[in-house]
Amino acid sequence: MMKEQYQKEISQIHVPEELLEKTKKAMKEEEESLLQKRTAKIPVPFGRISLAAAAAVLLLIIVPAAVHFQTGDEQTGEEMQMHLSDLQDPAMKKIEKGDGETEEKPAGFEDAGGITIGENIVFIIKDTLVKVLEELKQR
Amino acid sequence: MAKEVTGITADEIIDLYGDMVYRLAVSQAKNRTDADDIFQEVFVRLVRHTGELQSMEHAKAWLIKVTLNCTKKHFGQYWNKNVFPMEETEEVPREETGYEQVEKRLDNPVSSAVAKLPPKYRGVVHLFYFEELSVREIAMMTGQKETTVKSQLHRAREMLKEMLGDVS
Repeated sequence: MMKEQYQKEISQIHVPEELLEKTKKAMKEEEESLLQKRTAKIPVPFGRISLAAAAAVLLLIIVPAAVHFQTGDEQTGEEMQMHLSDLQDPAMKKIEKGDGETEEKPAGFEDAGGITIGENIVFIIKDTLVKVLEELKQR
Repeated sequence: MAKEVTGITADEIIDLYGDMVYRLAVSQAKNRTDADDIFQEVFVRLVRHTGELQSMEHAKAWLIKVTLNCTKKHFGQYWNKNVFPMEETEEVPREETGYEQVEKRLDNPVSSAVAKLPPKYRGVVHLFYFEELSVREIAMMTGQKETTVKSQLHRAREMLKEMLGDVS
């Protein structure tokens, strides 16, 4: 008896139209804000890496690659070290003179072919960049 | 259009289960403002969780559970715990509010008696007598043991008997 009476009383209650409309509006707003949050969270690859950091990373890859291309695969560790020391410290490189003595030359000295080592490095880096770009294009 | 739950939109869910949620909110809350707040909170949460619902039955169970949780949260807030309503100073014409049925509830003896029960009994009584859920289902939705639900129902019946006289 109590159950039927309670059901009868409660079934007279309905959501007021005004509240229903208000709630539907709030739901739409919530959905839109959720969509905005989701789209804002989509990661952009490398989007946050600064240009300077990207350049530094690129150089870290290019310089060893340049050494590699210049020296070739079949060089010994000792030879590679010599090339690296050429690149790292050209200013302090000692040039052997014909009479067996050595003399120090400043940075940018000319090698046997008449091209400075500085120019050589720029050339290698440019060459490597072109190769990397070509590879990227092919992919 | 709102999001979809297994091919059914959230707008369709509110149309289908809006009354159920509102009745449960009204049975828990003592005034229409609280019931409105709870109702809105439940359906805004629905938008955030539509992807988790697998069927309409699942949506129904979810709505009941969230309504009960929202009620707990609502009445657990400091303001609602510590501030008591004053007499209304301004009479709002009933025709304009659209809340006649809620107000009418106060004239109904059984629902008025249920409204006087402690909050933890109100939800259980409503789900058992109006939604006709089993003790097991209520236990699952409220996160309580079946024995606890049974004893709450027993205590609620005893209290209603005292308020209404002999009820079956």
